[in-house]
Amino acid sequence: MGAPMISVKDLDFDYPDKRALIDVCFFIEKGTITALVGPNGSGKTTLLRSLAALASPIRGEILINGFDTASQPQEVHSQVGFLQDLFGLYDALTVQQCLQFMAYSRIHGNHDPGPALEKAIGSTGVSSFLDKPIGTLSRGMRQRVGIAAAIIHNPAVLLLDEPASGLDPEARYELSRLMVQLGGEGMTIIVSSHILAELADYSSHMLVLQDGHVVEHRKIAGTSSFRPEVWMDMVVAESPGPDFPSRLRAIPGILELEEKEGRFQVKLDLNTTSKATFLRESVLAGIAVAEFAEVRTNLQDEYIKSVARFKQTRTP
Amino acid sequence: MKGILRTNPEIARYLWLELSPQRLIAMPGILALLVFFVLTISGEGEYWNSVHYLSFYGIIIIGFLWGMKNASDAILDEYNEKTWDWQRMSNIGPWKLTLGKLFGATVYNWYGVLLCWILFMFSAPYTEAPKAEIQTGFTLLFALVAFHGIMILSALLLARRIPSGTRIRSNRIFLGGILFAIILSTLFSLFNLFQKTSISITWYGISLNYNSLLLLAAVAYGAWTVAGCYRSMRAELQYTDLPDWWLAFFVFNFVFQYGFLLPNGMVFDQAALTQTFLVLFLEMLLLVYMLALSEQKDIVQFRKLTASFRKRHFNSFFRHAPLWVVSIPLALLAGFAALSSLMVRDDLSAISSLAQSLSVNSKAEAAAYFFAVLGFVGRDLGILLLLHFSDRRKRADATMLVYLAVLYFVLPSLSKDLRLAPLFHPDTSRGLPALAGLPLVEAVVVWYFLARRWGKIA
Repeated sequence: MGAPMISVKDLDFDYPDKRALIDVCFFIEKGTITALVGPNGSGKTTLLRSLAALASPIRGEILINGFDTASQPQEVHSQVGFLQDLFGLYDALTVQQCLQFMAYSRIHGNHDPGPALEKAIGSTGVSSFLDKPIGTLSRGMRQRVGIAAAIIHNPAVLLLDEPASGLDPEARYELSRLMVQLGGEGMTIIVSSHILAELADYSSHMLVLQDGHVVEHRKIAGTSSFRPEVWMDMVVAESPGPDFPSRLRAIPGILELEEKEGRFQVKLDLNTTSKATFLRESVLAGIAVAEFAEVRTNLQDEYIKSVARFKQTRTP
Repeated sequence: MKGILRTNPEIARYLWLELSPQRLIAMPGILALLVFFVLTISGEGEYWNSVHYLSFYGIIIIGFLWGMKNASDAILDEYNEKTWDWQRMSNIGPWKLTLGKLFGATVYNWYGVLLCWILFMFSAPYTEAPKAEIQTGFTLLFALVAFHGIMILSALLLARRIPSGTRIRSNRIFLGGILFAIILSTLFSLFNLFQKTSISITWYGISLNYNSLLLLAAVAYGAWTVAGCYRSMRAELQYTDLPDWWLAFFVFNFVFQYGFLLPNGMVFDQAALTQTFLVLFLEMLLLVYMLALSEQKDIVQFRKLTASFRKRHFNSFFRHAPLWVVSIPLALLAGFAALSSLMVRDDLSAISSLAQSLSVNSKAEAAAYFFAVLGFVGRDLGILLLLHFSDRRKRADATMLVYLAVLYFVLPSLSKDLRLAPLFHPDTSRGLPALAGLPLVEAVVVWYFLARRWGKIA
């Protein structure tokens, strides 16, 4: 494994009245999507602001793609796109003007911001309302412009603080798709949200914060970094027999196979196969498939368990 | 527009916002109407004079009053509308951002000022003192830059100390700016600096009329204000700087002011040196108080400061150090230089009128007076920090202002008959030990409590 994209060591962050982050340590690999979860006041926003080199901790070290937020904040800013929970945009400008301003102010002078601008507009689907003043946009449209502004310089790391809050279901679905797309392009993303079910759709990892502590940081069961791979749950109708694993492995597109309490979980490479193709090939191989469904992690349950475990360890 | 976007995106943004075709037409249209109105009510032969005064007040209203508001809003709007972090993470750079704020946010004001200024300069030859008026015209432009810069600096200062999420109103800064302008113009009036007479002032032996002097001061301090904005912007964009520019400003002030106090034809004069250091000491003390009351002073900042100092991370130390802390050594430097310079002389003639008004009759008294001042400054700053490190720190600066009023005005007048004056301000009436000792004891007591408090919260 190479150097992590984000490395946080021994981080303490103080506000005058409280310590918001306590001895926070974690590493995040390139190309992963991390769901940052925790109750209100757990330190999520403070952590994101520290990662974006906008707030300086009292102790500890944060490296973003090798750059230190304390001594190289400008370099960190060039690596990071950050959409805050309560972000502002220049309401009197049109979407086009605002994004042009963002592009020219974030991309180094020698580079033509045109292509990056076009890409950000294309990715976020804001092209249909480029001429509208920002002040007249709906919450969902505004959020998309905010994300376009955050990714306009093609950052290595994207930090999103509650990006789905206040969005209607359709806009949330679009946001999920965008996350998957950006993750697929190799961007390392941290998303903080209260809507855990949606985070599960696209997150590969979960980082749980509670009272300023990292309670848990791990890969979410059954998910991979992003969608080119998917875990499927398979139940067979008859006893599979001892040669079942080898029969299954012979089907193209399978990456991993696990057995759990009589159920099988297979990890598929969606670059070489599709769910439907794999199912058809399984049936043709004589496997009596009774159930075949994508593994969906219940992030809510996992979060509750993590917090409960943390509370137990803190009980004297 | 792409060229401007590439050169300075911040300017381009303000051009989009400020210069619509309607506004571009409205400004000259309204000014033309005003000129027409003034001409119709002016008597014969008074036309040019009337236009001249109209354009002068146009510059004051459009450039100073309105422009100062826009300059402070250039920063405060970013905070209030939550767009400042985009700027802080941008690649614009501190210099372009400074110029963008200074001339972009006020571009429409500059447009109006330019139109008025053309009228002002064209009408100047028809006034009583054409040369002085033309100099005034240039002075106004540089003063405008300085005033806009001061507003931006003040807005940055205010914004840093207000908790995030709180809406900041520009009224306080704007009123402060207007008050500053009124005080400045009152001082000028007191010293008859607005009169178009042939008073001349010598600066390093060069004879200057006061219009030239005003122009010189406006250029110099205008440049320093822009430099101050640039450095503040660097701090906002998290560049780490040593206080070298602050030191340069200190040296500049010394050199600039020494030139006025130097007797004609001389390059060195001990008395002028003492006076200059003394003036500089008082100026720096004033700055220490003003900055200490206006800059952010939270516990976290001081924790970072002490941690950086202990680890000898001086870059980090200066990044977190408030300007008032950095100004203290400079004030002390000027103070001790003034005292040393005074001590090597035979008498107090270098500061005779000041010594007389303070009832200081000997060099020993002058030295004790100096230490008394240091004691009171130490006490006051200690109280200020105690208030900020306490549990009820929300209105600590306002409370400190009340304490200062009580300590320097209310208590001395209440205890007049008890002859306790040396407890409240430097006073020579009770002898040298009381003059210097009491304030120093007060300072030590306050700092003892401060150290105890710090021990609990650090």
